[in-house]
Amino acid sequence: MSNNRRRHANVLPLASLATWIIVAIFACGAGLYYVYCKHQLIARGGQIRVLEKELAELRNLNEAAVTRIARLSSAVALRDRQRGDKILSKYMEITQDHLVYVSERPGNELRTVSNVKQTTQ
Amino acid sequence: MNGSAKKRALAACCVLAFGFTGFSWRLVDIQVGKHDFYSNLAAESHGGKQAIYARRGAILDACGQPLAQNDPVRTVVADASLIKDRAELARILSGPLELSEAALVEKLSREHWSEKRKRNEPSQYIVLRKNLPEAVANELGAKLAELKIRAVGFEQDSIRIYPNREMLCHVLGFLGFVDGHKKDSEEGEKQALEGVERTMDSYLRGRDGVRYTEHDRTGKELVPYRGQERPAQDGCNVRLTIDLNLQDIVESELASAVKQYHPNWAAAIVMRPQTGDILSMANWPAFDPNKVDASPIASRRNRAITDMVEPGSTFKIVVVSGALHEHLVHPTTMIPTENGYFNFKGRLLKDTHAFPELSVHDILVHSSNIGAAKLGIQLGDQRLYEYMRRFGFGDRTGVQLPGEIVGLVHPVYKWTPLSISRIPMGQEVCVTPLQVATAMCVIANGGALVMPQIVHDVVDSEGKTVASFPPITVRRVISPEVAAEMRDALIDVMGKKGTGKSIRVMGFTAAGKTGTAQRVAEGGGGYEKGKYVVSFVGFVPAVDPQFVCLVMLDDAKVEEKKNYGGTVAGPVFAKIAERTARHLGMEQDHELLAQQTKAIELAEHAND
Repeated sequence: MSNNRRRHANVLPLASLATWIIVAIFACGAGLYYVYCKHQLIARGGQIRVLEKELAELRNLNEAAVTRIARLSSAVALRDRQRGDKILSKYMEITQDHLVYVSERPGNELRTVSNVKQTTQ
Repeated sequence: MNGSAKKRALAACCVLAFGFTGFSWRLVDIQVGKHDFYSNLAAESHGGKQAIYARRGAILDACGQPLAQNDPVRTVVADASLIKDRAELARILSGPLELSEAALVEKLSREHWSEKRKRNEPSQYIVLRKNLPEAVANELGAKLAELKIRAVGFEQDSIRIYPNREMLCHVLGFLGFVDGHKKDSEEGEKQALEGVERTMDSYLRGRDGVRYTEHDRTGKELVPYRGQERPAQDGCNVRLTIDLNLQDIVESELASAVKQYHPNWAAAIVMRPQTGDILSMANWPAFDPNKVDASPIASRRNRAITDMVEPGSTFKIVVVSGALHEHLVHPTTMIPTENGYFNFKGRLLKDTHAFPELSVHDILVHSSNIGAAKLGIQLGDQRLYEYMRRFGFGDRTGVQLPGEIVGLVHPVYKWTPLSISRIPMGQEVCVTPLQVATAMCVIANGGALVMPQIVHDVVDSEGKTVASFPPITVRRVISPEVAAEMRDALIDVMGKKGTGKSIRVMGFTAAGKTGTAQRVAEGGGGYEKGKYVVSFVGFVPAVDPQFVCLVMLDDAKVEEKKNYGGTVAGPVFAKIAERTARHLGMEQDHELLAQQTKAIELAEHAND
């Protein structure tokens, strides 16, 4: 066997090998990227879930606060508070005949509308 | 390769071929043949249906003040199969849930019989506590997550809150369980049982949504694999025609009257005569819709629409209007009133104030029974019946409240020979307080019957109007001229000669009619002696009225000679009307106010 024939027989197909290596790298890269994307998807999904939960909790807390405000500021509740409050309970109620109503008159002039008590005085 | 080697290779190939064929067949069988079975199995173990709860809409007054709202709460549930240390979990939960550790351990130890495994197994759904406040639940949830305890879950729930408690309770209604056993276990969904909650339930309820989800083996949802989703549609907000401040005025005045007269029940209504909008509707006894079970059933009735009574003299507006509209008489036409005693078909009809004759105008002013009966006779059975129906008696008014009754108006063929003399003065006929108020609106608005409305509009969660309820004129009952003649007579009812002479709405000309009816005995069969249903219905101001107000009290505890509509219900009407007029920004007539004040002073001097 001549040297030339051996050299020809042992030659490395570098171009083809490189092509396959690149294909394999791309395939692996694509596979890893797919896994990475999937992982990201799951992780972001988890974040979405946490945010949704927080949002729902905030909405609920807001609704609870609005209800609490309505409950505490209703006429009945305020009246009860007034009765129970040491200072407020000493205040005298302004009865209807002591109220003076202000109404708009022609000419944009504001005047008091007399009530019974005032008229009799 | 020799012959035996070839045979062995062939045998190996055959085995491999059979093996792969077997595997391939199995693969095809699983993937194709049993596809549905396995996909369902996978869906069962990983898939789930998640409910998205819709919020119930709020009920608001005309100015947007909340009357009924939701308070978000949580139901705490446990899966006993996931508990490692019951005593430890009970110790953690005890404080926030406000339950004893022993009670919690008992709950967490619950078991159920498993048919599949033929043995008792820890329950996977145990309700530990209902109505846990949102903030407490959030705090507890965070603590459990930190300790990696998965056995406890929190379900979304809400309770209905009525911030004004008893105020407007009969109109708002309440939610509750339909049957008793559910009430005991507090399980199942509450339903709208009364009031606006019930009539507007289709708008208020909203629609729950649903989401198809997948979860991993720890039960955590895999958000990217969410399937089909139908979002929840929150309930709409219902805005009423009720003015809460006015309601407060009416209820406080009614409460004062109840304190003074101790009636069986009392009702008051304030309406806009032109539109039929109900500005206020109050009843006594009342109840707290936040604690429905603590109140007697009788107190939950909206008597303004569910109770019928004989109206008494307020009903005279029907016969007089009818006679005037049919041109049978004029306001000045004189009608003989027989000096207070009229024998009709063998039965004596009496007047409280005896007159030989009265004009049609004065029949109303003096509330003459004989005069009304004679006008009824002149009008005739059929026409009187028609006018009753045209004024809305014997029909539901159509207000958006449940349980409204039609009252009792007998058809002409069921009348007795005496009916024609009894019905004109408000006997042998039964009406609801709302029907009386609506009939007075006919006079106040110039002759048209309007449908009472209590719901103004329905608005969705984005503020878009979903439904509105414009004023509805049912029919024209009398001409505007007749309505004006009636109005003049009703003004004089509250004048010096009238049955409502003691009723003064300071600074305003008011018109109205008193009513005193004997109380019909329970179960029928005549009247209860000494017991009356007194009422007053009127409007302010007399010209271009802004509101109609009715006050009715059943069996006021007052001495008999003072138990009249003009003396019991009338003053309550005056107080309500005066405060209502001020609240609505109506301007007083200063001349009239001075005259009224002088009259009061003179009366006080005369008493001294």
